[in-house]
Amino acid sequence: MNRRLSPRPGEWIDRSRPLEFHFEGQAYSGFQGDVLSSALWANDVRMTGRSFKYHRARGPYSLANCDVNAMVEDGEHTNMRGDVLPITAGLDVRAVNTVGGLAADRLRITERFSRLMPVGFYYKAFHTPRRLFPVYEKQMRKVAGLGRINPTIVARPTPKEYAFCDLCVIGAGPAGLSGAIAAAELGLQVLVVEELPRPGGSLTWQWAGDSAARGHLERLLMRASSIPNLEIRCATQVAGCYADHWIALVDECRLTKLRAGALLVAAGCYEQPAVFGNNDLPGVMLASAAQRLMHLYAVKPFDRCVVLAANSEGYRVASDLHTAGVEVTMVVDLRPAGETSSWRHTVEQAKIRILPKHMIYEALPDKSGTRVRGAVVCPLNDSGQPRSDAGWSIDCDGVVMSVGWAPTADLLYQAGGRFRYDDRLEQLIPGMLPATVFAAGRANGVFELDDQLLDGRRAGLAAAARLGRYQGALPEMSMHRDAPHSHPYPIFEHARKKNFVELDEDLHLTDFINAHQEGYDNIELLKRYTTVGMGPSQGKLSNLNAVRILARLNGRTIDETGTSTSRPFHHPVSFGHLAGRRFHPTRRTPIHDWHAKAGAKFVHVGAWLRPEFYSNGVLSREQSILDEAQHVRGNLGLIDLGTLGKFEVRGPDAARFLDRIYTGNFADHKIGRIRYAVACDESGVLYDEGVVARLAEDRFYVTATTAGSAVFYREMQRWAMVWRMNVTLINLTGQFTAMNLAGPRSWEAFAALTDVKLSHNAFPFLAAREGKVAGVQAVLMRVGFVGELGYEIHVPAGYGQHVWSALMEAGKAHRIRPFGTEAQRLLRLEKGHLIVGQDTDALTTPSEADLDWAVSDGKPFFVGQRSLAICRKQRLTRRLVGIRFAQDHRGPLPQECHLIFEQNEVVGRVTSITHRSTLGYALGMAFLRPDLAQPGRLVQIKLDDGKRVTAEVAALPFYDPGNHRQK
Amino acid sequence: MHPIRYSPVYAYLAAHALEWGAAGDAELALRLDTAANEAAAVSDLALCDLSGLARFGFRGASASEWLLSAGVPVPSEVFGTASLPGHGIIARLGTEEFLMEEGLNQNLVTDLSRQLGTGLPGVYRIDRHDGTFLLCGRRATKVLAQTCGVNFQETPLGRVVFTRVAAINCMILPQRAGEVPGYRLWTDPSFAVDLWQTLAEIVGELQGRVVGAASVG
Repeated sequence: MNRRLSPRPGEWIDRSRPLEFHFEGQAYSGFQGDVLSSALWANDVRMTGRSFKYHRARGPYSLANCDVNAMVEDGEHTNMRGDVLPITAGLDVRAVNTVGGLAADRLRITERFSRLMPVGFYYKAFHTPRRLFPVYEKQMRKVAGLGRINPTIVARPTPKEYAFCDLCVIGAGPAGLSGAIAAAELGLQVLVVEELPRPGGSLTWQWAGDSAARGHLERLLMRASSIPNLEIRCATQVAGCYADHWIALVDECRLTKLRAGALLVAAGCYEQPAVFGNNDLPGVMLASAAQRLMHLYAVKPFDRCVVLAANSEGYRVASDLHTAGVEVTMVVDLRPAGETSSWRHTVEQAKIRILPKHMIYEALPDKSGTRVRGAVVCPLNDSGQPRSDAGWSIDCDGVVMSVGWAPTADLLYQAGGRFRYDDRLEQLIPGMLPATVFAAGRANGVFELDDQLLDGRRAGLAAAARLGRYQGALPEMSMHRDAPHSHPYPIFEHARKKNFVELDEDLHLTDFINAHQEGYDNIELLKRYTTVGMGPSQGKLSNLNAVRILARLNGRTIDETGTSTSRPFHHPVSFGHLAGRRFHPTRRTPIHDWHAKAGAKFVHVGAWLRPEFYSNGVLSREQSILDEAQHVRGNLGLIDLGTLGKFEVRGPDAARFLDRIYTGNFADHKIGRIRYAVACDESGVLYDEGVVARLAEDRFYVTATTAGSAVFYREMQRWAMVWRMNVTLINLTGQFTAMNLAGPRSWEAFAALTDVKLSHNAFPFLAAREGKVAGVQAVLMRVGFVGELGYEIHVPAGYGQHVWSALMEAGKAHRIRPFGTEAQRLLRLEKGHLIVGQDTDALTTPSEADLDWAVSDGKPFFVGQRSLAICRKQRLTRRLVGIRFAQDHRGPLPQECHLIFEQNEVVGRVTSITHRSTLGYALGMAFLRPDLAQPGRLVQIKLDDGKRVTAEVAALPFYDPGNHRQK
Repeated sequence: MHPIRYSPVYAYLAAHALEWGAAGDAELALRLDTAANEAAAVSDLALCDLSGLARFGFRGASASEWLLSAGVPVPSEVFGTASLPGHGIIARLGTEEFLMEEGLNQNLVTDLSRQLGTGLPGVYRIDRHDGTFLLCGRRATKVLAQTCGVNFQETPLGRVVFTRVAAINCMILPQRAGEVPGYRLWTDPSFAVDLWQTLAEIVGELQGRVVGAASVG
């Protein structure tokens, strides 16, 4: 059966472009411009989904992006809403949350057990006995939720975008367009955001049957298009409003971060449902949904229907339906006096029966339970309660509800606004708005079209005035003139049938009454217990009714009851949109490409990528690392140290400054010499270390750890300001690169490449020189982190590749090989050199790290000095020591962080360990209780499986204790 | 041995450049496509690597005095810039902190850098081997809009902006060549590859081009 109406002015479908699509495996046809729900309805398909909990049949309800009853998936995307999903050629979708398909959903059996599943049943039923919870959990996870994510789909990056405007207008209806034009005409840069594919708002559906209204829309759009500083973005949702008018806009392609000077919310209202028996049956829908079907998609909603009304809009829709050829059996009006406007006359002229002071007690399902076949109408008594005994049934295939409105308050709440309940309007309206936030239209309780246009203009001018573009008088705020457009309590109990307040979560009236009886008498508590407003539509069709119910149960007013907090997102946003393009910057040294070509396997060290080791494709990772380390010990290696923190400290106070920054003595530091340097924070905790080379009286070159350099530089900057010293700090971490040529043959390889004299006397251990390397001005340092003769070479980053290549070339005759961070880590461990952050933690003092030798007691001040003095008066509780394992050790070895035990007491932990060393045995470092720290003592280390392994405390360093090789 | 200075994005350019030229001791990719194609892209949307241009920074109490003595125009305001021959730039980054970048086929900055050496009393050298990129064309702001939270419609020409582009700290100078807007970006060399890849990817998605320095000179 085709329910398509004849062409109508303003319809959104393009009849020249028919499309075929599939739903639940069945082929259907529609037109370009249709959404899934409208196209299905046009094909007389009424059931579009199953409900969340009871798997009841559901159909289009709002067609306003709130229809959780029409959520579908296509194998790639899930939880797409049929009421806003445009159909495209080849679209092939299925309803979510079914087992066995929509029609034969096997989970519909759950409704038979609904008495066993009142609200909150899972809180009570499944937490005991605890041993069964995993069983419950497994089953619940199977049936809970809606659509399923396909993990095989590779996410497509969606770009994010920043945008700016003076005024952001949310909603392109009459009030929004009017406000936008008023503001733009005064020169403001105005962006109008409309979630529907076309502008016009209620002019396109509610007023569509009115030719004068269509004229208004044409004039507004023509004027808007003629203003260059006014942009309208359709098919764009406002996902959230954040501080300082940071507004998240979501369209099909991207998330836009909009920063607006002011915000005008003219997003209208959400029509609210009435609560009666079976009010969720496919065929029961909001009046605005029926109007959207008729006017936007040219679909005849029903053949014969009943209209439940409590406002003039109900009469308007009855007239629209009649005009569209629907037999409107009657208008059932909740109000004792019925309609008083001219719309009553219009309906009467159409010979539609009007029944004031009546209600619909229940919708009657057909045999399949998936369609409306009738409705039970009954009178209301004087206290507004249904007299069900006096009810009678009528045949119809549709029930239309027009009982009230709730403002699109979420965005105003998020923007800092507050609402109050207007008893005259029976509606929430803004009570307080921040100075740069404005509301217009229905949200203000303004329902007449002319009033909405005026109210929009007033708000646009007010925004312009606030932004300094308008000094004139502001029009008076439009006042509501006629009867309320919302019923104060369109909610009715039913003796047997479910009467839904919240369709998202399958909550019916009894659930709220039960929750209240259990003590959940506060709106926030009620929300969390019942989960009202926590479903995909975020309570847009249920929150107000929930508040009305709670207010009545508590015997309080709406204002006394309050509303729940509104947080972003206004509509669901896909993770892909939130993620956006990947912006996680990685730092690379200038030699990165060379490493990659040489087979480097990279590892992340902070933000940096460093070669962990170089693979020849034959040796294992562990073998490669040991091989590189052995090569450095026996021959020559080159490692990229470009990631080190590198700084210049300059100025007349440079020496004095470093003397205060570091624990050691730098005031008498000789030019051309290097000192190991330890930095503590004010609590005496060691947080960085490096070397300091004095290059001139007022010029020091300083290194810091890769991971800690940013913090160290920030601390130096802070102290330089606090101490007001004449010192200049220059961060060269990225602008310079460094490499270490290490091994017994390093002198031979290096001598030919530099103009610096390398003899022991001219360039001794712990000396620093400036000179040229491969023609590039460099800072050279004789240090021995890996325990071999070595030269640390620091050059400007742009020349890093050149110098590295020259060193590799010059080292060829000496069997040079690059080595990675893991080999370096092994070599330094053999030398007993700690790594800050690995062998220390957030509480480690120099004493615990056995670095007292690097702390100068004789100077007047350094950062952390006072704390260290206090610490030293207390008993040391741990000390960093070496540990080793027997050369013939077989079996598992500990990992870093494994605990050391003395009997059953924890006495330490492993900080570093290597299972294979150039010395032929496994070794490491550990924190240990000082009384156990004598070399030769055996300690027990607990492994992951609980077994213990014995290690021997060893003196550091393991390798070359006399430091002969590095000198 | 003559040292060679490499752009941080040399590997990308080496795979795409058709024509190279020298900029002091650095190689500069002059063209990656035909002159006509690059010219069209420059006015529409183009990305160009200018890292090979010589540059250095300096700061200290006598920095502006030294500049004046060298006859170099000193921008009067912090974040202000002035032009040097061949589209070279001097930017004032602080009260007494400056960055100078060489113009194409010029020696002024190189000579001054040599004069300064490691520094003079009250003038401290700051080595700068930044990744320097030019994003230009009528649609250049479309790329920035995807990567940066600054409203470049409101930033004045000729004043540098410190911000983050694609989550990377950058200094940006809005410029204009005739009617064509351009944005010169400087970033730490260690982040340059990441920034370049991101910008080039977006420029590509928007049907722009990576062009050589000859097309933006």
